[in-house]
Amino acid sequence: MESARDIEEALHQADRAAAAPYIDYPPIPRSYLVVTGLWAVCFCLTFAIPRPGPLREVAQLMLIAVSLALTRWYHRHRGTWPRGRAPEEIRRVKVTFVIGATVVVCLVAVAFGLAGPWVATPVAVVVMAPALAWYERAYANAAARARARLG
Amino acid sequence: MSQFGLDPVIHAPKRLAAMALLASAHGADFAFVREQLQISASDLSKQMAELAKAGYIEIRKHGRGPGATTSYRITKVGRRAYAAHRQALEAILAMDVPRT
Repeated sequence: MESARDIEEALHQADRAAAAPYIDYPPIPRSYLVVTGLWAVCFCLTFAIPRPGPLREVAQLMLIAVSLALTRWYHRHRGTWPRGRAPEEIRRVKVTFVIGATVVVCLVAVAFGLAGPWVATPVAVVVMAPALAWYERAYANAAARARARLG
Repeated sequence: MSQFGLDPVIHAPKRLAAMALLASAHGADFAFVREQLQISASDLSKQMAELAKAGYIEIRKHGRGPGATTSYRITKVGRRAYAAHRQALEAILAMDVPRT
């Protein structure tokens, strides 16, 4: 015989386990912001590489390869990688992040269009650094709220 | 399948939690799953072997020797089975009927 309480408990445990890939993760390395900032600076500066010649594209491809390698390393470091529907708390942060990232990209693109890569680069750093720092903090707070709710 | 559409392979609480975790991830390694389920290494291996036998998950081994790692990934069949099982549990709960 299995009671409604047993089933509720099993579903609760399943919900907690389903949220784990989103809310249980090792501390983000402190170098993350610096590395991301450097990456953005390098990427912006690739647009200053004169054409013709494949150097600009080669540099950009190398930077994309570096970002993929770092993502792969972090995936292994974390032990999992979430997919599908995130807990409510995380969803809100992600929506804000997507809106914020779109605004950041637009600002950098406008700076690039108006004044070129030498101005767009500091603009990218000034806008991205606080945006990323906010995202990391907001995500950590949301994960803590989700952990508290799910037990 | 039982009378209520419950899947006996997934119904055990540890396996249900493992399936829930893997359904919301691209995959997870042994250490992560073990930490989440809070069970011993041998118990986790046993539970995961049951799920793999039913075709619900894939077990992947990377490397050899002391640095070797094991990871798990849910299959399409497993994803469907988990969704159906979960739906059956919620239906039972909605009816509030004790299951024998």
